[in-house]
Amino acid sequence: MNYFTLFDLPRKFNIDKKLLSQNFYKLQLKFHPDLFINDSESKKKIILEKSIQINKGYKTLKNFLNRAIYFLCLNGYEVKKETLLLKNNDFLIRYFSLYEQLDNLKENNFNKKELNNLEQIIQKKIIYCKKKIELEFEKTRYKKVIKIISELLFFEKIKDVLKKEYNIYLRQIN
Amino acid sequence: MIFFKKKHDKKLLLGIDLGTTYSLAATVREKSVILLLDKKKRYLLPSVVHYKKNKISVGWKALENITEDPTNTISSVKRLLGRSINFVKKKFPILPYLIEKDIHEGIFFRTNFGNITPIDVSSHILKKLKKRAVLLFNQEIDASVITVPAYFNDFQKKETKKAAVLSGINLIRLLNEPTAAAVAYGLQKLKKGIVLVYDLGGGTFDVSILNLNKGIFEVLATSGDSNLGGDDFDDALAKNIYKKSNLQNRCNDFFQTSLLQIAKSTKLKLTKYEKVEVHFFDWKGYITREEFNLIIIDFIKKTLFICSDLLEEINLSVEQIKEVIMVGGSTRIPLVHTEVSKFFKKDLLKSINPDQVVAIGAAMHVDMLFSSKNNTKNKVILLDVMPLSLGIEVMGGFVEKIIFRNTSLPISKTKEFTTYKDNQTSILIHIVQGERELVKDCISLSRFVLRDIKPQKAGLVRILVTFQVDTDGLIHVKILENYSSKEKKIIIDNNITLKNLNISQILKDSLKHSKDDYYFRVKEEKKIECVRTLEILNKSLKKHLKLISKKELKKIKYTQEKLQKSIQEDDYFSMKNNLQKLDEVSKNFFSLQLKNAIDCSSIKNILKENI
Repeated sequence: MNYFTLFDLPRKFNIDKKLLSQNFYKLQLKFHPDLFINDSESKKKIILEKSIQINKGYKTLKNFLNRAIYFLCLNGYEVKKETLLLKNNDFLIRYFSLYEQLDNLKENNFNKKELNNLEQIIQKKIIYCKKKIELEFEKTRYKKVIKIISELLFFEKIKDVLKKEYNIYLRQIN
Repeated sequence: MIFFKKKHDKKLLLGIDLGTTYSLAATVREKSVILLLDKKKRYLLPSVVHYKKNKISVGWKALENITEDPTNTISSVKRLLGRSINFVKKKFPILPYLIEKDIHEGIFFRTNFGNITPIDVSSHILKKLKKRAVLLFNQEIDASVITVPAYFNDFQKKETKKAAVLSGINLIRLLNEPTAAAVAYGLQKLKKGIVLVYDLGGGTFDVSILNLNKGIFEVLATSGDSNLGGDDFDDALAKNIYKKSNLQNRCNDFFQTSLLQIAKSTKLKLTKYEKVEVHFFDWKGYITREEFNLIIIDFIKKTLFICSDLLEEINLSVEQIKEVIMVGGSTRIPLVHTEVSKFFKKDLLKSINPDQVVAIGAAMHVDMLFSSKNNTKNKVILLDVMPLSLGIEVMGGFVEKIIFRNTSLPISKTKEFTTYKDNQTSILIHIVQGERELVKDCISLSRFVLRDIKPQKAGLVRILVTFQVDTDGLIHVKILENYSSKEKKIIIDNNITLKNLNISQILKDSLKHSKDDYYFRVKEEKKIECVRTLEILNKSLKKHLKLISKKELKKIKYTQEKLQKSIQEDDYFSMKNNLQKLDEVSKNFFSLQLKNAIDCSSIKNILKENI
């Protein structure tokens, strides 16, 4: 059973998140292992498997990237986050320019204006990528989706690094 | 005595808070929670055990001996449960007990009663609570739930479970303490919204963020420090008193223990009074609350850092937190209260006694577990998460994360393993818990070897290993070899070396060192690639030497040597350069070899090899 069927959602990339959560809770109220504490070991085992499937499915569909990769897989395109991130050579060049900006920030003690600026640049790119992915999915152009996912992964990574570095800085001055 | 044989229609279900300084138990009767009292109507049981030659005393009685016989009176054992000798030595260098290491790098105490492990001590406390219950209700315990800090690692949880088994209390579930507190409040007062549980006990700090929604308690994320609590305040205050009193050269166990007891009682008095008089041997002086605040402020800041990190991790702002629940005796300290309130910009929930709230929640939960089947309308379930990432060691001493922290439980993940060399017959799998990239910085949970693998070409064998985490947060490993479909089950057991790190340190370090780790990792990976390339090349050269000219061979050998040298020198840049050069000079050889292989073999053989 695929996760869309499990959560009773139409097999489309764009999903109703509220409905997903609602159905997740409904399933949990039916299959959570704690509800079967007095049952036989064999029943417990089956329930445990079911419960794991529910948790895995929820985790996959809830998150934009995980859902995208899963949806690709359902359509016959198997991709892995790790390999996508490494492949994209064009982006490595831009990677450095953004990294330079990050280094500058560090030297300027995270100047508020520049920090906001860089954050916004990254955030805009992320939103842009996500919109494009949704669009390409509608047009069933999966190869294009894969390319944009690797871009998205790349920006998410910079965002992460920026956050980490800023946190380190904040702790130092505290 | 027919009366005693009467069948009880109500099962005896206990919620037990096995705390660092105090333990207690509660049960639900007629829809309300009852705390189990002793003969003197006290619900708390000091988590202290005194070991005499032929006698064990637990609780208040044991507490009386703490200054007279400190060597044989074990207190705050929860801090030592599931810990290694190295950790204990480093973190608690002045404990008054005789501590030795066992064969697994764990510890035991040498007491007048004999050798006692931290598990034994915990089980003796549990037995005492069991006695209370049996005496009060005149029936055996049908089932019980014990609470543990959310941030306990797999070892600490399993040791708690072992103590429960030894004491015979029919444990059915471990429950995270902050979750238990949320249950206590959630069922009584709140119905919907995001709540944060701030749990500062005697020895541990836990924070959990939960989403409450019509009977569902969903833990969104959890974090903490399994070695930060009120005991640290006592230690710091004791040091301060020691410094002020100027009583030097009296560093025996008796002195230490009484100093600590005085610090403890001073701390308690300071929650009520602004200024407290302290007598210590022939010294007399005052400690003001302001002074005390200065001593403990850094500890409180540390807890708030952990909170803000957790909020950031799941993208929540302070404003989105509807309620903050205060749990644990140390939240009675006025400064803790004001600082936490300031940080979250709101009044804090503390209407349920912070000493009782965890046991109350546990009692409600165990009651729920048994009644929810009959009562489908008011079903209540707990969705908890994995507190620490689970990973395996990969080449070069790195960790590959298999299950990430804050993943909903139960969960499982299957990973495929293969051989790295031809005819390899065993694979070592090393399971770790933690957030850092290097194995040495994480907690080592288990090491096991997959043996009797059919000798084959490298990479052909497929072995599936499933890592499963149950609702208690305990880890199970299942192995399925692809060909034999033989199933083998491994439950991680506490029989390997314990590592000496605690979790918040791991998280913090993960933040601080991410860059170093990253650089180091890049370098190590390059090194592995170089070694591998050299190996493959050497093997092929031996076999197909006749394919190339002497001149070409000399060139290859020369570059090989250069690469070997840069590996030895651990020089990343020269490794990269020389690897590139080696690729170039050996390109021709490899293409000749490939051509040769194709010429020599039939299509059938090639197909076979590719399978």
